Amino acid sequence: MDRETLSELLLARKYQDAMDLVKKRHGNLRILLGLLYSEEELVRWRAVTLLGLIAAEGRTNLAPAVRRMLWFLSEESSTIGWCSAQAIAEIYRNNPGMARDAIRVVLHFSDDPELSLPANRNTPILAGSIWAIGALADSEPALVSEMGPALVEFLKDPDPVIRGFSAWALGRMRFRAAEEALNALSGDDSVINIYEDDSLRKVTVARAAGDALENIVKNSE
Amino acid sequence: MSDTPMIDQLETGPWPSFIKDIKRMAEKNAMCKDLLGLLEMSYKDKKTHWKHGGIVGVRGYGGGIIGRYSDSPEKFPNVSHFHTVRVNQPSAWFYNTGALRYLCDLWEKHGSGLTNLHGSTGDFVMLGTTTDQLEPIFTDLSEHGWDLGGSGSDVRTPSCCNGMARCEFACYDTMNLCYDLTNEYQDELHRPAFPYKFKFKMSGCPNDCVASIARSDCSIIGTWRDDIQQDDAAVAEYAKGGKVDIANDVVGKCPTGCMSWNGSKLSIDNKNCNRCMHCINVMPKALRPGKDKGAMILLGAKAPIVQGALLSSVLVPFIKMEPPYEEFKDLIRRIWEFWDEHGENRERIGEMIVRIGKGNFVEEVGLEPVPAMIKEPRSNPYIFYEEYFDEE
Repeated sequence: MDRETLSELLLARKYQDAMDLVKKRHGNLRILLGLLYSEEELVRWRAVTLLGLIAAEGRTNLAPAVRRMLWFLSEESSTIGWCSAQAIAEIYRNNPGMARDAIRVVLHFSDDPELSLPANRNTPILAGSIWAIGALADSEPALVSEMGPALVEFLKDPDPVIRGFSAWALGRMRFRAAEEALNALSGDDSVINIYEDDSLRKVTVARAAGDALENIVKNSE
Repeated sequence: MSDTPMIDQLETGPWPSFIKDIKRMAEKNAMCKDLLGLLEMSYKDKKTHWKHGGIVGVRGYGGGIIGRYSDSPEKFPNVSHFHTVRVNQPSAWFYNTGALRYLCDLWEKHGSGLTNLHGSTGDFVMLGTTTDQLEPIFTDLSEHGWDLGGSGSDVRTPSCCNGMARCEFACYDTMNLCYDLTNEYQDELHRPAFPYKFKFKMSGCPNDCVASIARSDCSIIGTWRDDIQQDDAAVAEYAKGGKVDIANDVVGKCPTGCMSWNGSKLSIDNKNCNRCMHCINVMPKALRPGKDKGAMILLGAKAPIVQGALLSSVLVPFIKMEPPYEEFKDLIRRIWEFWDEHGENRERIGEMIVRIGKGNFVEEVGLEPVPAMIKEPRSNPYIFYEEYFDEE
């Protein structure tokens, strides 16, 4: 199996074929992990999805891969796990036992006083952590609820991806205390990509905030 | 009085000082000026003012950039970020002046202008830049045919001696193999997915000028399997007039005692030669490596980080090293597959072999045990007495 074949299967949403291929040989899992660095954004996200599906099936132990990805998020690893946060969250969402220790670290990237500071932070990793919060909002509300206040602060962030992802995550959390800050984004026309339901959606930050408000209001009715 | 009295003392020693170099750059680069201040403060406080690491990188790559932040950005704002960029060096570090000028100009434009040639991995190391400069540097390098090296849990930039380019002892083309492996393992080099780092180093002969046996997870050391090529007339020439004291300086220093000298004839019991290269190094005109050349593959060296230092030990005593190197790559695939599945987080392959036993490792990667695999007497035994157990 090579990188290109697996990328093509992911782009074509042939997840079962991709999963069969990955499971054929242990080394193929390494190729899948390598796709978390793909230059093509959709391939990175679909690799995240596939890891979740493999976790859900439960026949391949992904715990070692989770430990490895967590290390890639550590500041002393000399490595950068671009999509490690999303992948760990997706694995946890589908099979909590495989990432129970790691998930809290991933989520708390968002309120780590050192790593979330603009001078020190890595924006893609922070965005990945925020996405992880949103992705787990439905299945693990208790786990992510304490992150709400930190995300509200991020709605004022200079980076549109951080603002947009935070709005999206707060909407999924139905975090009522965010209403005012979300309303303040109604004129924010910066465009971002949000990965949801297997697809990349191009939206303005204002639209992400509007959708979030709709979710919150719907829930409070 | 100088602002940096303590580090000024480093210039007074007998060797060229890096302080002098930094001061020279400080005249035109604010980062270097602040670097001197930060360093002086470290000497004064007797502790480093660099924080450990940092998460930075360029899109599409998981390694190649080492994040570095200072803990005193208020005092020295120009070194609040001071990231390192590793550039994949050409095989055997052959550059032309144009290439060196380009790299230095790029670094003066985007960074501190300070370099480290070469890092222990072999890369061309550029010291000190800021996060916002990383993508422009990477784009510029790529447009000029350069690439980043490895860092973290990936295949590190392969490196080699200058082999056949300059050395008559080279038993295989180290530069070609280095180039080939660098291209073959691009994915593993740039997209970390291993338990920990994996280094290839290639030496053309057992002199091992790149110290691969101490510095690489996989050492590929040139060797031969026939007899040392011997020119008796040239031996006699060395002996003539006492140019070389063959009895003491050659035969007397042979580690396996496989040579003898009767005053006119040098005899070598080649079966007992362990390829130490001493005799060949002393009399290069008279003795040469054999004609049936290839390489031995050793595995497991590392510096002390998580556990203590290890030297590589023999895995394959002899393998022909010729393009496209399929036999070697197939072996590496099996080794990685096993390490990938069974290696613990941050466990180098040498540490894993120590943990599980070389016998088990050899069996798992599909090799037949041979005596050359024994690292030292009474250690890593490869003989199992399963037959005896079966009989009981």
